[in-house]
Amino acid sequence: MKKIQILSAIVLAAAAMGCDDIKESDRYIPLEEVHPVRAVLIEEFTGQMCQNCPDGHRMLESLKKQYGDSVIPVSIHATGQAISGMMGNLQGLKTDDGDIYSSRHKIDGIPAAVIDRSSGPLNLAQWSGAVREELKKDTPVKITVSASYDNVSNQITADIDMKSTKPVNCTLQVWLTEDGIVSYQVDGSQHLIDYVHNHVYRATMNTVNGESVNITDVTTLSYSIEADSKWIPSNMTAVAFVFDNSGVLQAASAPVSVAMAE
Amino acid sequence: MKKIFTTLALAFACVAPSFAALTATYDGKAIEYGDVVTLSAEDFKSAFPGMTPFSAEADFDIQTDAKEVAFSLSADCPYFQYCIKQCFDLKLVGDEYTASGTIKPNEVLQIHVNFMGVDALPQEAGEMHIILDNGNESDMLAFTVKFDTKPAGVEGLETAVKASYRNNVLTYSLDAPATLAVYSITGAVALNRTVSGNGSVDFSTLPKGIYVYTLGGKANKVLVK
Repeated sequence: MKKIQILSAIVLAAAAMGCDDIKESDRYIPLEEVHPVRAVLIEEFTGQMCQNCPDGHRMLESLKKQYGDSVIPVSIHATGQAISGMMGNLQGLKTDDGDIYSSRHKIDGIPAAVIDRSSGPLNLAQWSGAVREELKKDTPVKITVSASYDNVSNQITADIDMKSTKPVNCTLQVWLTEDGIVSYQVDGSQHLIDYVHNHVYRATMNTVNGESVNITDVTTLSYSIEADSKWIPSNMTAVAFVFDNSGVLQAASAPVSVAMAE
Repeated sequence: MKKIFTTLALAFACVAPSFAALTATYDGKAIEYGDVVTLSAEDFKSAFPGMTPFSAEADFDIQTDAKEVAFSLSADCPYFQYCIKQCFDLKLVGDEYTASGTIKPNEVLQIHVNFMGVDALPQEAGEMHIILDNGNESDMLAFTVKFDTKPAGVEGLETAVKASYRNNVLTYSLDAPATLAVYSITGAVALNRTVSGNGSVDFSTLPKGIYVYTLGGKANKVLVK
C-alpha cells in the first residue's frame, strides 16, 4: 500500500509539472487578416429533398456576409435528392448540367462543395477553412463581367474581359444563376413550400465544358442565350471563371441588368 | 506485489471499454433483431394540399461502446435515401440498391423515403434491409424498414411464416409465396428467390460465415459452417 501511495504521488506531481500557466490573452490565437486579390468560386451541390442541405445554404450566406464579393457561390441542384420539372406551380431546380458537374466532381453525399476546383468535394465543416486558404492565393488573372437582358429579343448577354500579367492557357466558363426563387425545400423535419433559394445554377452560356482561352494582355469574349420562361432576369447573375488543371485561377460575377420599360 | 497486480487489474477493468450489446432505438422504442419498421401512408408528409403524400422518414439512434458502427443497406427500390451528416442516394448494384459506411455511436441514422426523384408515384410497397455491425459479431443488429403507400386503415395480407435453420439448411412452411433474400454481413446479396409452401434451402453452397436472411418480413442471422 505504501508503494502505491508513493507511485500515485509521483504521478500526480508529474501531472502538475506538465501544465504551463498560459495567460488568458495568449490562449486565443487570432487568424491573420486576409487581403484577397481573387474571388473564390464555391460550387455547392444540393437538393430540394435533402434535409441537411439548408445548412449548406446557410453556410454560403455566412461566407458571403463575411467575404462579400470575394466569394461567388453557385448552388447546383443534383443527385437523386434534387427535383426536376414542376410540382404544381413550384419549380424543381435540378438541371441536366447539374448532374454532369456532379458526376465530374464525384459528388456522393450532399451538401458538399467544391472550392475553386482545387480539391475534391468537401463536407460542410471544411468549407470555411478551404475558402480562407484559397483567398490567400495570388493570381495573374483579372476578370471583369457585365451582363444585360433585352426583353425584346429575350436574350441575356454577358461580356467578359480578361487580363493577365503573363500568358495563361486555361478554360473559361460562364454561367447564369438566379436568386430569390421561392419553391419547395426539406429543412430538417420541415417541408417548406415558401423556401427562398439563392444563387441557383440555371444554365451555362458557353457549353457545359466551357471554352479554351489563351489570355495574353486583354482578351474579351461575349455570349448570349435565350432566357427560359421560368427565369426572372432581374434576379440573375452572370458568373465567369477561368480554370486549368490546378483549379480556378480567377472568378468574377455581375448582376444581369434589365432596362426599365419606357 | 500481488496486491499491486490486483489493483492494476481492477483499474484496467474499470477504464477498459465495456462492449455492451449493439442497440438501436426508433421513435424511442428499442429495435430488436429482425424487427420490421413500417412507414405507412400516415407517416408520409404532403406539403401540397390535395396532393398525394410523398415522403417519410425514420430516425434510428445507435448505441454501443465500440468506436464506430459499420452499416450496410440494401433496398429493392430507388426511393430510399439515408442521412448521417450528409444525405446519400443508394447505388444500383445488380438488382439491388445498396450503400455501406460507418457511423459513430449515438449518431442518428436517418432513412428517408421519397418519390420526388422519380417520375411516377409507385403503387407497390418497398423495403430496405439494414445491418449494423459494431465489430463484435455476436452483437450484429439486422432489421428492415418498409414503406407502404396503401391508404391508412387498409390492412395488407400478412404471410404466415414458419422457418427453422439447422446444419446449413433452412426449412420453411409458408401459406403464401414469399421472397427469401440472404445477405452477407457486408450487405451483399448472396441469394434471392421466391419460395412457397413447404420446402428447404441448402445454404452450404455459400462461403462459410455469418449471413442474414429475410423471409416474410422477418430477418434472422445464421452461420454457414
